[in-house]
Amino acid sequence: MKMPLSLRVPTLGIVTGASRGIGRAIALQLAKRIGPSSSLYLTARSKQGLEETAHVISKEVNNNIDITCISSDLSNEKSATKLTDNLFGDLRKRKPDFSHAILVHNAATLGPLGKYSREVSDAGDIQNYCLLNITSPIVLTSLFLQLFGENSGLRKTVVQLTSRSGVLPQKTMHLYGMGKAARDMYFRVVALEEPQVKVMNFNPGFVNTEMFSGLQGSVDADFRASRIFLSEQSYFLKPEESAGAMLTAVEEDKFESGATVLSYDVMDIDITK
Amino acid sequence: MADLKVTTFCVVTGASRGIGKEIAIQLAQKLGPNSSVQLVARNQQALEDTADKIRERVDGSVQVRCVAADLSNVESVTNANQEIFDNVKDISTFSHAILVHNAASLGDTSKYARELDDVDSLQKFCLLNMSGPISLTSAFFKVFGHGKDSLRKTVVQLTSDNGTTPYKTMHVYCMAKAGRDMFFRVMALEEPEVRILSYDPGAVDTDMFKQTLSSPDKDLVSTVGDISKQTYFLKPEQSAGALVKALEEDKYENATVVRAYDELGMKVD
Repeated sequence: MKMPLSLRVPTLGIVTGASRGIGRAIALQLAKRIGPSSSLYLTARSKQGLEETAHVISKEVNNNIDITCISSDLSNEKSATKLTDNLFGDLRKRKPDFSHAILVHNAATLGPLGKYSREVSDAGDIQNYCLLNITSPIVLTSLFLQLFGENSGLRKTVVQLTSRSGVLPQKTMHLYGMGKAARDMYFRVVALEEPQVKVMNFNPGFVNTEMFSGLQGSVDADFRASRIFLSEQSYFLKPEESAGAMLTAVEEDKFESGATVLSYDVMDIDITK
Repeated sequence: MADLKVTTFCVVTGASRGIGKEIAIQLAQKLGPNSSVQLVARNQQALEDTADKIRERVDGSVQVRCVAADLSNVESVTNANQEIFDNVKDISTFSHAILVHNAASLGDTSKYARELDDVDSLQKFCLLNMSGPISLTSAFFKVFGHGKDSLRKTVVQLTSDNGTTPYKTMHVYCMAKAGRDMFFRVMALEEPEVRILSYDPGAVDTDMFKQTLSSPDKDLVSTVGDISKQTYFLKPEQSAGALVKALEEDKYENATVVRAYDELGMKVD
C-alpha cells in the first residue's frame, strides 16, 4: 500500500505562470502545504501579478517560506535566458537544504485560436509559441535536474499542466493541442530516463480562469458554444480546487511517473454523469 | 481508388536522400502530364541527383524543380515557402496539389533530456520539425485555396511510432512527432475535404536510422541493432512504395497513423 509522501517538508518550489489563474492557485496551495525553511520561486510576465500572488501568500500563510518573484517573458529568447540565469544562478549559489524540489510548468498560451490551422502562417510566430510552451519547459527541466545531480536523498517532482486538447483534437486548438501533445510525450521520455524523478502530466480539468474565457476568442462558433456549456456545469472548477487536486496527487504519490493525472479523478468527480 | 494520373503540383521536403528521395521519385512517376514537382532540401547537388532520376522516368511534360533551402532559420523558411510556389501562375492548370512533409531531424540523441539546456538548438529543432511544416502548409492553402469547391489537395506528413511510444534519448523526436500528429488531426477536423495522410514509414535503412546508434542508451542501441537484421528493416524504396500505394488506394482515415507494415502486409509490433 503506497504511503503518502508529506509535502510538509523544506521544499524548493518553482512555478511558472504564477501571476494569475491556476498558477497563482498552485503557488498559494503549495505555500500552504510545504514546510518551514522552504523557498518558492515564482515567474510570469507580469511583475504586478507576481507581487499580488506573493502578497496573497504572505496574508494567508504563516509559514516562514521565502518567495522570489522573477518577471520574464518565456516567449522571448533573451528574457527566457535571463530567467534561467537568474533563477538557477541564485540556486547554485545557495547551499539548499531541501527535502523536496518541485518544478511546475504551468505557464502556457492558447495560440492563435482566432485562426484555423490552415491560416497559421508566420513561422516566427509559431516559433515564439514553441519557445513558451515547449522549449522553455524543456530547458527549465534540464537545468532543474542538473542542479541536483543524482542526489538521491532529495525528492524531485516535475509537473506539467496539460489538457484534453493534447489527446483529443478540437477545431482551433491547433498549436495548443500540438503543444500539449508534444509536452505529454516529452515528459513521458523524461520519466523513462529519470527513475529518481516523479513526473506528472496534470490535466487540471475545466477551470474558471482568464485562459478559459480566452477560448471565446476562437473563430469556430461550435467550439465557443461548447466552452460556454462547460462553464455551466457543476464540474467547472475554481482554480484552487484544481491546484489542490494536483498537490494532493503529488502527496498521495499513487501515480506512475509519466502518467497523466486528471483533476476529476483525484477529486472523485465523474464528469460523464 | 484515387486517380494520381492527373496534372499535379507536388512538393516533397527532404527530397535529397533517404525516404524523401524515394517518395519523390516514385510519386513523380504516378502523376499526370504537365505536372510540376518541387524538391526541397538543403543540399542542392543531392536534389539535382533526385531530379535527374525523376526526369529519366517521367514524361517530358513533367517539370521538376529543385529548391535548396536551409530550414533552420525563420527567414530562409519564409523565403522558401514563397519560392516553392513561385512558378504557380494559374492554379486551374492543376487538378491536384500534394504536399509531402518528409524533412525531419532526430535531435541530439547523444544526450539525455537532462542535458538539453540550449534554447537555440531546441528552437532550430522546432522550426525544422514543427513550425516550418506548419507555415509551409499554410502557404500551400493560400496558393491552392480551401473549402468545398477548392482544388483537390493531399497533405502527407511522415511520422513514427515514436509519436506514440516514448524512448530514452528520443526525447525531442518523440515530442515533435506527437505534436505534429495532433496538429494534423486538428487540421483534419477543420478541413474535411483535404486528404491528410500521417504515414509511419517503419524502420528504414537511412542515415537518420543510423544516427540512433549515437545514443548513450545501451538498450536503444541494442534494439536498433536487432532491427537492422530483421526482414522488416525496409529499404527506402519499399517504404516509399507503400506510401504511394496508400495514396492510390485512398482508404486511409485522415490524420490517423497509417503504417508501412500494414500496407505491406507485414506483421510487426
